[in-house]
Amino acid sequence: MNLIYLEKNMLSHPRAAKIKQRLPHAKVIECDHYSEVFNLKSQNFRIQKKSPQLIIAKKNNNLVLPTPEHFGIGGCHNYYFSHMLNCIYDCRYCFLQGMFASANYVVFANFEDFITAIEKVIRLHQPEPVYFFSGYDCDSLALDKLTGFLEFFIEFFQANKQAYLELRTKSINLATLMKQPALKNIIVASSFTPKLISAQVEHKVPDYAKRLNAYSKLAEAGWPIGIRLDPLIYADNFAELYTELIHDIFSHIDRKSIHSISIGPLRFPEKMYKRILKLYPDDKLLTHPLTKRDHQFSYTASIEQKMQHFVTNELCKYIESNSIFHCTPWLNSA
Amino acid sequence: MQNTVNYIVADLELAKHIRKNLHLKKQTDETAFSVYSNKEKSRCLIISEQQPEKIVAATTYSYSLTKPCLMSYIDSSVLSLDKLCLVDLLEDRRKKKNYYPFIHHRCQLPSRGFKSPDQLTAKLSAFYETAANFLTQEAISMAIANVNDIENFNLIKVIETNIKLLANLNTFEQQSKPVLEKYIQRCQRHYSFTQYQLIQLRYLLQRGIIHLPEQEIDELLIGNKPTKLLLTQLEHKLEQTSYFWG
Repeated sequence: MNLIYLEKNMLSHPRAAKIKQRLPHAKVIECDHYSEVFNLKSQNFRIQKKSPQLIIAKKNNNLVLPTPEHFGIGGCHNYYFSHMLNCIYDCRYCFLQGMFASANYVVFANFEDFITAIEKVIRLHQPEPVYFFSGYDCDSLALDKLTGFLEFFIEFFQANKQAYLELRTKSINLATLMKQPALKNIIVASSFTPKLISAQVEHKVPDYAKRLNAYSKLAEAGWPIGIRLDPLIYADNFAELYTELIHDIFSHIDRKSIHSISIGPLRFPEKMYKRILKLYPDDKLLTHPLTKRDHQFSYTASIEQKMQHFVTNELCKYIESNSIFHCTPWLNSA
Repeated sequence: MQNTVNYIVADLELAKHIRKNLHLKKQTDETAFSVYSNKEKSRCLIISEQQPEKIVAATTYSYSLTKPCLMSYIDSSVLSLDKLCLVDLLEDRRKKKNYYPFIHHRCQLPSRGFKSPDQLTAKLSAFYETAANFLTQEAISMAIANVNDIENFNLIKVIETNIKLLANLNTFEQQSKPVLEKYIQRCQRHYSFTQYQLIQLRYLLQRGIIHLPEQEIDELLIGNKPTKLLLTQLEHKLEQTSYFWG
């Protein structure tokens, strides 16, 4: 990154200053609002993905939002927040590539306002536990060295044990977590696809084996681990591929450390799918036989059910079924 | 879209420099703007007049002429402290709009912003707004040369370094499309399609190119069958194909 676009209302924010310090060679260009630079009709996600820049902005509204129904890992009150938009990785199944026309990274550096919004939600549901999901529109940890997100939020959740935080990440940059005692209310969750698929679909993501090793160390240190088999990706030999994946996961990560496993099929809203296919017309995953159902592109119902059924059964060989969740947030809108 | 890069220039000294260094030859006298291009037609220079509305016209004309993959506007100014700099910000106060042109993260050239009201910003803004109607932001660049350095500095060589970075980013636009278009044209020669069927065909062939051997596609397309049957067969073939991640 050689440019930082900085919202004028963040000019004097100390976190913006810190980020600038960490990128000493980047030129700072001021803007009134991040939307002047981000997600314009005339931008191309695929091209920008090869040359992304950083935008530092302030999030003013909708800092914390309820998750769609049927999305959760056992809690009744589920919310998500995004301190960043876009991800340093380039997974071909990711909805971000169809969501935004720009691949620049937007960092909402007003973390304090996120905490205020989170506190409000916790108070609303007190004394019941509330789950907060981070990493919905970004990877929670991928740019952590730059943003200092983790350190700031750990402190808050350490003091608020009735609130749970899921950090969704594919990063192996876990040093900040390893440096401090594990917290039972912070779940480090990662999506996995079989090794062979990962190598072809999850571009720029750390190697499968390295990720398994990293999460194994995290589990040993006592951190609760979330395994996300989401999305399930089809192959004629999916049974073989997913058997190997599940075996690999449980041979690296102690099952007692696994907080939850969620399973979700591959689904794209119709418009999003068309946009992504236009960006990557020759991609193997996107040109798979996806069919249109309820304004969504997905595998046929029979393939989807076959895969979910198989993977659930396979997981039950290793873990109690009450730790397995089926993520089907689209059921509502269908 | 071709692999042509169009330069739009309103400064005659700059135009002379570009023509000389890129070995461009005049194309024809019969157009509203002077047009120069090289033998391979990979670089094209369109000379505009100085007024913003002329730049809008020259940019539009240049696009219709070559359907370029990149467009670059170059001007000269005493405002440029460097020999050459890219434009990273345009504040057009007259239109109450700001533009943030794309800068490649590996680009070594300095960049700076320009604010209106002045003639240079009006020209830049006219070019940028027009070019953005035709190309994505990442395929548009603007550079300002120091007016005192045009003759004794090979600025086009430096600009071309940046153009090559941008061209590498934009390559995917040219990939895969020719193969698909070849099949579509072939089908259209032998079958009649409604608009809806054509969309279907495009979608199926796009998948077919990736997942079916060329020979199987060729065999499917042969024959004098109803269009509907062709589409059904293609769809059926794709459904029956094995999917492996080898």
